[in-house]
Parts: sequence; structure tokens; C-alpha cells
Amino acid sequence: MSGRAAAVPLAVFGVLLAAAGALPLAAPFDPDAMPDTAALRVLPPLSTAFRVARRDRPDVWATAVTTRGDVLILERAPRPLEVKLSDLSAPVESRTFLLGTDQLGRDILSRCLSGSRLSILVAGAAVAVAALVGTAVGTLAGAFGPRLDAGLMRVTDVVLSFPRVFLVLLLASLFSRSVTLVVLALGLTGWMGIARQVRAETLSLRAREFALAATALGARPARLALRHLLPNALTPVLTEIGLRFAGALLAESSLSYLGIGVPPPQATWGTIVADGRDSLATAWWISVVPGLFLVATALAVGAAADSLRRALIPGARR
Amino acid sequence: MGRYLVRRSFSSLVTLFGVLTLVFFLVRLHPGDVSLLYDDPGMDDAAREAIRRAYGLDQPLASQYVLFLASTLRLEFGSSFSHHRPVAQVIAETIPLTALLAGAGLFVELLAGTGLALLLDRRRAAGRGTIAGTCVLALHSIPSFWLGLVLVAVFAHGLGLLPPSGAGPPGAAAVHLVDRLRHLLLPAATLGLAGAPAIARHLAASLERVSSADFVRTARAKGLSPRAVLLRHALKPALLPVVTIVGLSLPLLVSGALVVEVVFAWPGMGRLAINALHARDYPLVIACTAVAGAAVVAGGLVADLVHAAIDPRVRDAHSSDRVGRP
Repeated sequence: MSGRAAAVPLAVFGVLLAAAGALPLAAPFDPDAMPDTAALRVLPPLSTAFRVARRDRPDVWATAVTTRGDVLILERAPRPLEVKLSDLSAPVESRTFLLGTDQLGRDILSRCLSGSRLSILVAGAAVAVAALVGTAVGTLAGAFGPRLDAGLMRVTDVVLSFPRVFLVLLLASLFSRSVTLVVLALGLTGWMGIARQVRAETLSLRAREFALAATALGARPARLALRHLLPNALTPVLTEIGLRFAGALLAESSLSYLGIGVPPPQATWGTIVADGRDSLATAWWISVVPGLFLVATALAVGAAADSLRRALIPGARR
Repeated sequence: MGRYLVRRSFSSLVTLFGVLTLVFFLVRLHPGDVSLLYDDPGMDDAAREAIRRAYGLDQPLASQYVLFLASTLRLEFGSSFSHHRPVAQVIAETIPLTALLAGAGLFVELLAGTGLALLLDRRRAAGRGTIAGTCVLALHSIPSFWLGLVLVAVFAHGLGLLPPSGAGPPGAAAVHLVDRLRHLLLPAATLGLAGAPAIARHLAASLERVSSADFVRTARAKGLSPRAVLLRHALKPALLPVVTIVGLSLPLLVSGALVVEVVFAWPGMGRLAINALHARDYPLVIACTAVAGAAVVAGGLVADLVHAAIDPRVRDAHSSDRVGRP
């Protein structure tokens, strides 16, 4: 039972990683291309538009096409355009924008699919940093005596009592914006919970017989910590990582929304939401759609982490 | 109570000291000359020298640190580049609005959290906890800035019921108060709903513990309906540990308030900090960070003292100051 219960969340993580790699390839349009901003801006979801290829001139797009004699009349903003049939270099092609377009006429679905890679990678890297720092601090605090423990836990308390966004804000004001900065800022403000869990686990392991035996056999504190305590203290880290991943995903998107996240032109789901906030009254889909991607991913990972926790830790409650 | 108060206050002071230390050294991580951070491009050389002396920027790190602590504790944060006024004054103007938003958000959070927890508890009692649990998890997975935008799109742009942004005109006249409340509704709901799942989970766990206590069994044995047992007997003691959870979730509340203020253009301290960041107004950014950290430490202290005041077991039983932390 527990093996099967653990298989589901692991499968979810696998699917997620595969999605981060493959989803951008599934984008129906070039996510950054602005083929015809005037005609394609803020089309609602499920809109169809027509691409008209002309000889020696750039392609134009239209929301409707009618013929009058040998002239094509293209319905498009700001005013209709007439194109002679003889000027066409290819048949008129109709394309559907499943989730609509933004103010620059870019396809939202393609942008969300291509944004998935950076969103997932940044969150994953941030959690890796947090897990690394948290495990190190937790092991140091738990395995090397009460004085170091008291000091490190005091530091943990201080960072924990700091509102995370303000801390990241301060970092963002001091350094130039980059993906690395976002990863480090999120990682260095997210390790405290993991540190506490590892410390608690290490402290309880240190009193167990196998640890006493190792000490009795002459193992130094460093060897005891690395070879005996740390490997056994990693179970909570494993389950925390999933929960933290969802948190990091949401935190990164908040930062991108605030304008202190991943710098443009790179886009994450948070940046796409931010792109739409000024058009919310007229074009809600620009902000709402990428948020749905975020919520769905966070929910899937959160649910997976929850069931992983229940599978690995007997007696864990919701 | 007296000893607990002294011990807990002392521990808060140490944490506050740690928070300010953290801010000081983070600022010193700046790759360039730190004194540049305090250079207003519009200043002449004499004013620049005066500022450098005031912050001790021409002195070694240790004395800079002492000067930073001293001036922060006296609430002297220097002069804001973008507002051309003392930073303390600029921040003081925004604090009432942020406090109002955070207070209203906390109210919504407790209300929604308690409601969700009662729902969770009923489902658990019926042996069908999964669906309600998933609902809480779903709410947990919604970023507050996006929730805010969706609420604006529905209630402000779609239905036209509430204003989409701002805090309304200043003033305390009755008309203004109603207007202020209308402006407050959506931001407070956003902030509260973001924090509600955490409250709900802890309260539901607490309810589960309480429901196996003797007095609950007695209440049940008296023939009270499950509803009366839950609301009149189990809920009150189960709410006690939630006070500590509120204290611990204050950093989240303050972080959330910043995001919500930006989404709703609510002129509070968070929005001030973000605008200061974009204007490269470093004294203001640094001061906002310090004030936010200090506010959380103070709020945590208040929460723990309230908890101790209503639950004598807390102040008597625990000798460590990390009481009740998970």
C-alpha cells in the first residue's frame, strides 16, 4: 500500500519535469512573436483569425475575410484592408487562438506553455538551494552540541520572523535583476522550516542506539553526523521539498508580478499575469489564464507532496 | 505572568536586534560602495558629506553598525530621495492604512479559517475528510495577487459592485467611512482568504485533539447534539493554540499585505516600499524592511502574551521561549 501511495506523487513530479521540458515545444505559435499587433491585439479566448500572405509584403492578419469580386476585404483593427486576390502568395490560413491574445497580439496559450519551463525551473532550483542550506544548518545544529544549536536556531528564528517579500525586496534593490538572484533570494528565505525539521530529526536520532554505538566505536562528531545521522534525517526533507516547491512556485510568481522577479524578456507565469493587470477591465483572460496554470501546478504538486508525506511518515496527519 | 512577560519580552528584543543586524549586513552585501546608496543625485557635496558623517559611512564597519542600530532605534532613517522628506515621516503616514488592511485581513482570515475548520471537522467526523481537505489545499495553492485580480475582474469590472483599487478619499466623515469600507472589502478578502487555509488546518487538528477529551465525551453523554458539542464545548478550547498560529503567521500576513497593496493600489507601506525600490530610494527601502521586521516581532510578542493571558498553562508550563512552535 505504502509503495503504491508513494508511486503516485513521484509520478506527478516526473510528469512535471517532463512537462517543463516538453510543453514549450507544444506551443502552437512562437510565444514571443508579434505577427500583427494591430489586428491580433486582445482577442478573447477561442477567437479565430486569418493569416493573409501577400507577395513582396509582410503577412497581415484579419478577424474576418470576405470577397468582393477579385478583392479580399480583411476585417481588422484599426480599419479594414483590401487586398487583390492576385497579390496573394499563399492560400488564406485560419488559426484559432484557444486562450486569446495579449495587448501585443501574442498567443496566450503559447506564452503560458513556454513560460512553464522557467517557472518550474526557478521554483525547483530555489527549493534545491533551500533544501541544501536547511539540511546543512539543521545537521550542524542537531549534531554539534547545544551552543551551536542555540546560536543557529536563534538565526533561524530571526530569518523566520522576517516577512519574506521585504527581505527579497531589499536584496532586489541591491543587485541587478537576474534569474540567479531570484533563485538565491527565494532559496535563502525559504530554508528555515527544513532546518528545523532536520534538527529535530537529528536530535532524536542522536539519542538512538546506533548513534551511541558509532560514538562508542570512536566515530568523531563530523563522521557521526555525515555517515549516520544525516542519511536517516533526510525523510522529512524529501516530503518538505514537494510542499516547498508549490510555495516557491507561488512566491516566484508573486515576485514577478511585483516586478522584482525574472527580468524581461524572459517570462514566467507571474510575469504574464502582470502583463495583463492594466487591461483587466477589458481583457481579463490575459491575467486569469496564466494564473490557472499556476494554481493547477501548485495544486498537483501540493496534493502529491501531501500523499508522499502520508506514505513515508506513518501517523502523519493532514 | 510577570516572569513570563519579562522573559518573552527579552526574547523579542533579542530577535529584534537580530532582525536589524540582518538588515545591516544584507545592505553591506551591495557589490559597490555602500555610501553610494545614500547619495541623492540632486545633493551638493556639502550635503553628501553631512549624510556620510551622519551614517558614519567614512568609519569602519563596526562603528557603522553601532550608528545604524542607534539611529534606527531613534527612528532616524534619513531623508527619502523620492519624497524629499524624512523617511520616518513618509512611513508613518502609510502605517495606519497598512494596519487597517492587515487587521481587516486578519479578521477575514480567522472567520474563513474557523468556518473551513468546522467544515473539515464535520467531514472528518463523517469519515469523508478528503474532499474538504482538497478544498483547503486548493485555496492554499492560489497566489494572492492572482486571487485579487480575479476578485477585481468579477466584483469591480464584471458586476460593478465595488471599486477596483485605491483606498478612497482621506477623512473620517461618515460618508468617507462607508467609502473606505467599500474600498477595503476586496483587499481584506484577498488577504484573509490567502491566510485562511493555514488557520483551518491548525484549528481542524486542534479540534480533533479536543474532541477526544473527557469533557467533550461528557457533553456528548449528556445527549447534546453534535452541533452543540462542537460549537459550545469543543470550539473554544480548540481556538487557544490558534492564537500562537496567528502570531507565527504574521510574517506571511505582512508579506501578503505588500502584494495585496500593490494589486489594489492601496497606499500603504508595502506599496511605498515597492515604489521606493523602483525609484532607487534606498533609505526608504531599508527603513521599510526594518519596520516590517520589527512590526512582526512586536506582533508575535503580542500574540504570545494574549495566549498566555487567556491560557495560564502556557506561562506556567514552558520554560523555553519557543513555546508552541511547530
